[in-house]
Amino acid sequence: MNTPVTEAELQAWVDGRLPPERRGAVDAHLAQHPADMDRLQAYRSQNAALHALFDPLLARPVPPAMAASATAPTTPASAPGPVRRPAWPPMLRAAAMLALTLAGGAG
Amino acid sequence: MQDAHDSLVACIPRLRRYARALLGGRADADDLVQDTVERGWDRLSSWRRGSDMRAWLFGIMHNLHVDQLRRPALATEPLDDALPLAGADTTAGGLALRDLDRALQQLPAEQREVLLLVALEDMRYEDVAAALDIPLGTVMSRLSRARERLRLIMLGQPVPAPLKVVK
Repeated sequence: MNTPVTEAELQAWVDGRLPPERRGAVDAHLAQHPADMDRLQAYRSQNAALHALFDPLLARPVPPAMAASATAPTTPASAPGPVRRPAWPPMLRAAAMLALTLAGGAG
Repeated sequence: MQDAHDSLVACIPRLRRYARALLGGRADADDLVQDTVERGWDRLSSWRRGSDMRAWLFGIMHNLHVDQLRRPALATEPLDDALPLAGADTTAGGLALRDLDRALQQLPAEQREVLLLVALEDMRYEDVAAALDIPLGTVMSRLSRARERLRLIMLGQPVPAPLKVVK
């Protein structure tokens, strides 16, 4: 008697993360449950569609201000006043937007 | 320090993609990334060298996003970034992708997070659990619910009542 297949294992099947020793059991389950097979195929299509939709965003240039915030020294202990500065100082924002516009025009 | 800087900057494109997918076209997606990078840099000492920096940064972003959700809702700025791929694409494929983007935003945020970390970021379930600070079983059940809800929305079928009541 095989260990019953769990929903978590079906999810792992979708992502290709099923341990090898459970593949046979899950494949056998899917052969007997076509509705589950359809559902899991739809989930695999979701994975592919999410990549198709969002992967192009990886090619966007990193705004200079964003990279710069990983160089500034950590907040000086003596600094009084507001804990948090505006995330995008206006000048940097304008510069970044200009850079993006130029990059967009070039691409 | 330079190594850490380079590693952190190398994570930015994925952080931006994830933030955009998580928040939809909201103009504050990059603000969330900016805050994440700043906080990550400030807390670099708490990053375990050799461990996955990206997963650690996603954890930071998650916490910042949760804080944001707890604050009273601000008037949300409309879409300001047409997706490079689907923006001008009026073919059936392009339209279907934009439907997916909209459907994604109809998921409860906690389900959307898990789905995106697994399906888009290809993170291991254990790493998602660690980044979001939730049990592995919760990751799996949210993943399962997110996928099924998304499937039903895309099919135009009724979905189970949302967890949050609006107004």
